[in-house]
Amino acid sequence: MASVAYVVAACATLAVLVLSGLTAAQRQSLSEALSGQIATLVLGGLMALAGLVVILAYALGRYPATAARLAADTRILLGANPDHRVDQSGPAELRELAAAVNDLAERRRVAEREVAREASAARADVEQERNRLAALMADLDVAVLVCSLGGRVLLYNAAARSLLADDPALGLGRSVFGIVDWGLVTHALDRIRDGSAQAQVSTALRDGQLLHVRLTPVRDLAGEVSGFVIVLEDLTSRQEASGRRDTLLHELIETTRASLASIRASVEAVLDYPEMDPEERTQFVEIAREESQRLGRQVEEWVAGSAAYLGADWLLTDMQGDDLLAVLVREVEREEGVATSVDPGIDEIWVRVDSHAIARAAVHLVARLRDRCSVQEVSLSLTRAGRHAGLDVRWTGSTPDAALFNAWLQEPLTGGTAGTVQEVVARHDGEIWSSDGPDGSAYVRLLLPLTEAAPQPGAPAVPDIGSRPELYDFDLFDLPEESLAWADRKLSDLAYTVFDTETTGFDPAGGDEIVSVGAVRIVNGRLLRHETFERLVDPRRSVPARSVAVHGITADLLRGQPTMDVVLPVFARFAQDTVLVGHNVGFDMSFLRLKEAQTGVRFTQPVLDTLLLDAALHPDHEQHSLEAIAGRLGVGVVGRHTALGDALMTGEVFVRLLTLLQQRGIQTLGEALAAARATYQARLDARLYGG
Amino acid sequence: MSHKVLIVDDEPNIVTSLTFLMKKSGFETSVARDGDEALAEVERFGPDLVLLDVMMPKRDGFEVCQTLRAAGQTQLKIILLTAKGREMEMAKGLAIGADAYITKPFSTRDLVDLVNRMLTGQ
Repeated sequence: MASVAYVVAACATLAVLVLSGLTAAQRQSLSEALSGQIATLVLGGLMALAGLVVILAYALGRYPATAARLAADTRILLGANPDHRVDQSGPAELRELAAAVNDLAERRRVAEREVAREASAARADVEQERNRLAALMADLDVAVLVCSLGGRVLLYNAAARSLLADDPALGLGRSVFGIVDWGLVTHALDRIRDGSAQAQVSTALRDGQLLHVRLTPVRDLAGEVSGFVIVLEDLTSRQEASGRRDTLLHELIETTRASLASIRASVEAVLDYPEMDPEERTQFVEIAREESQRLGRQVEEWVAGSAAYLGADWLLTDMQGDDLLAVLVREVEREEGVATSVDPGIDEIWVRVDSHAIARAAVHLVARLRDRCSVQEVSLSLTRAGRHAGLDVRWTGSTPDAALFNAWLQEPLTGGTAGTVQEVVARHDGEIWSSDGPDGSAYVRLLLPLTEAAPQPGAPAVPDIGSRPELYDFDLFDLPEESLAWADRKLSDLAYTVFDTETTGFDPAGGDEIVSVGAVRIVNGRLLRHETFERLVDPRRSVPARSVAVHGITADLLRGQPTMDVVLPVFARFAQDTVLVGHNVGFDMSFLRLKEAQTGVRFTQPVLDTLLLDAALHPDHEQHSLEAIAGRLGVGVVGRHTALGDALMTGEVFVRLLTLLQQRGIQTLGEALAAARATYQARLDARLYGG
Repeated sequence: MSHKVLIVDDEPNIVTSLTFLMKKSGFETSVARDGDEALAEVERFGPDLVLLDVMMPKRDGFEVCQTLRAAGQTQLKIILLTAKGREMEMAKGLAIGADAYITKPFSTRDLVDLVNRMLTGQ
């Protein structure tokens, strides 16, 4: 209907246009001419009108069709094929629209390609990280399993597969509890909820394989535990080695003492009873000979057999007494339903334990006491007993028969822990017995070694820094290219330059300067007291009275002395090819570094700090001042606050620290730097977070 | 009447010396080679004092000591002898009722003095 109205309107408009273009005379003659042939005209007009209608209908009909095609094309490029372009034919307006759509599509394509490129770059990064992680994990000798909080295995490495001997229970998405005992993981997670950064426990697998399990929580952004990483290590061979060594050692001690007892007793009998008859005398002398031969053989066997064996601290973790008791109460109550309470200890005690194994032993003994002695209620306590810690389980009643109790000690434990109570006790180098106590009570006592020093997790002691501010230079730990080869060298093979400076103040950047440098060399672990370096340096500035009060070097003394531009290159030559050592050496290095640009001298060798090394070796000591360390290590405090005097004292200290480092298994410079770096980080954290 | 001393040890050489020393000190002696024998010999021989080695086959010295005490042998003097000599063991020995604890090797004179003191109360 709208199109018919449109056509009529168009014809009228045409008529008006035609007529309006003529003058009055023309209109008159036209009218006359037309009036004669009105019928023809009307017919022709109608035919023209009809033709016009057809043309208009065609022209106007294309609009909706083109628009519909445009829409369909647009949908194609929107969905199925982004590279499709809409057809740009049809009416001019729609062609314009189609071109605009194509432009838009083109821009979208470009943007999409950009996003895709970025995404693929990001994916490549992630992929690279993942490959690195995978390579790292694949390269690790230890078995690693990454698990969700529910215990589903998300990731594991080849070492895990090999360690678990292709156990079919190991697989992505499968439960880790098919491999590691559920109680053990729960135990470890409990420990972590109690505030432990990670938990270490040991467990037994089928075929008597003993695993050391280290469980570290994975936290989400909110800090909640969202999963955990399990690191497994096969301790079977180590335990066997350690067990063999322990057995050998105990045999050695016992047979040595037994033989010595026999020798001594027989010799003393001969000496103290000179009237004994010759036959008896011969018998005692024979005993002495036989026993001394036995002793000799035993020592030789031990020497031959002991070389390969390792230390035995591998599966024990330092734990505070209260924490251990909390763990035991929880597990005993959960498993055996025996009412369990804690007698709070008076002392703060630290013990070195495998808490899971101790808990299994406690659970086992309480179960036996319940079943065989009708014990319904026990109380636990941990107290200092001489130089040991006494872990007691007390109840009202009497102690079981000694033979029965000893039999309990030989029974295999449940809950994923290796061996028997007796073996757990032996692994802790402890003793266990049961006895009647006062007031109708009885107890089982497990004596454990006390840990020498109570570690302070996460809160290293804030040190006494003496008169100088403690300055750290993280660059100390990063070996420049030239000195990378240093890291693998043995501490005992290196030469060292131990040095110290005296300064006008504490602020090198603020204009304080060195007034004196002293140094001494250490070669082959010996302090070469005759290979020293000592220079006074003209600081080209005033020397404040407060610094003179420390080092006694006045401006008069410094007049006419060389400046740092002269002294530093000489010192650099003295220190060439040696490791630099100082106490709180970051302070001295900050002065030297400032002079590097000015003098062109660069100190590219590694730097060791006796303060950090001492803190690494003795984290429990609060004092790491040079005096405090010297006092501990038996170094005389002389010549303080002269650069050479302090360098010599630091050198003496360092020589002793070297021995201690090597005793701790820190053999290479790289390891020493790593230890110092770890201490540095701990101390930095302590400062930042107010530890 | 002389006091009776029971010597319990599985090592014959030390038994020889201990027997000799105890006899020379005027005591009547008897010997047991392991824990079970020791329990039987206490019944039979009725000693006033036992020199009891800790490390023995079958029942160890600790168990023998605890069993004797549990069986009402409260007057019997018990001296534990051990070659281990760890402080922890000493604590265990005294906790389960031993009267004294001697680490091998020991001075024979000290041992004889100790036995004399414990038996005569001097």
